[in-house]
Amino acid sequence: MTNEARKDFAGEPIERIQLHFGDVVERYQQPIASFIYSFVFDVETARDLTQEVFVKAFRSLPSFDPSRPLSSWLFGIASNHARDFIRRRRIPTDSLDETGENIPDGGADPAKASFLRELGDSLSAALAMLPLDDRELVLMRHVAELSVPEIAAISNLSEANVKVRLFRARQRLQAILGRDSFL
Amino acid sequence: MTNPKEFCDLDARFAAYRPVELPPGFSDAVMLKINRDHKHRHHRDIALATATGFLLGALAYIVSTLVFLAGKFQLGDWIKRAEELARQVDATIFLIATHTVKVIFKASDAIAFSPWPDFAMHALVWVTSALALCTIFVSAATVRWTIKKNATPSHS
Repeated sequence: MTNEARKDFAGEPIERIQLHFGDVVERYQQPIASFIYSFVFDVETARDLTQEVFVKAFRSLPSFDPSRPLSSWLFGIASNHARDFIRRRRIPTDSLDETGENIPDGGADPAKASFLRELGDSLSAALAMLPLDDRELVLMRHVAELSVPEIAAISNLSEANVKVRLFRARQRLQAILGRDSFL
Repeated sequence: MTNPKEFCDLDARFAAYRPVELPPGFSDAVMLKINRDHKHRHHRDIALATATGFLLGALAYIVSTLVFLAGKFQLGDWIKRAEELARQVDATIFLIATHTVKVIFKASDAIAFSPWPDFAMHALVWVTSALALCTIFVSAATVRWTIKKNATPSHS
């Protein structure tokens, strides 16, 4: 496999991807783990789910369309798997602050403040405050590094809609991060 | 409105975003899990194909034996009587059912009352055995095809 193909596995036939699946795991394990963590906010769970995503992807490889980018297909599986997990475990999917305007100061709700402190990283904490759908779009754009058309295809939204929602989500994220004192 | 500088800051934050540290050998563990799952599914496919082959073979034996026995014990006569009865009471569904069974028993009658009943019986047994063997071979070929299709993944 060439270095360029190693990078994104573009145009590789399914049989070759199947035989070199170890390279696929090496290439995408970290972004997928980060992506899933931002759904579940638990390191161990994120690691377990990441493993399961690759097992699931390997099983479904015969149905993969090689003309599509492998990354968008993998992140589509990761997104569905994380959402299934959240549904099974009945993890609340509401953002910590639905409006994004009243950023908690840590003192208003001790449970929320404690959760945010546990997250440690300010970006994780800020992501936790976005609604799940917006969070997913931001993660697909910035962690998975997918293009707008790819995100639109995965999330069944129009490209224009994805752009608008991404812009608004980024604005909210920026507003939350602008007040680092909330942690 | 958020200014471009702030957007750049966000990009920089995401570039450094690594909330989960994966332990060394994580990809090896993933590949081990994939290989285990692959083998498990592979063995399950083989077991399923073999069981299906044997079941189909057994079914072929049972059907041929029933047809043969029906001819041997002249059950066709009973079917004829049932058909007459159905005609008398004008029960259409029953008529269709008895007619269908009659067609089947016609074949068994032909076997049972042929000038070479023993030969016919042997032929029937041989044909059924061949059918069962064919089914098993087809299952085996399917398994082989599955093995070839799902090549074991490697980890370079």
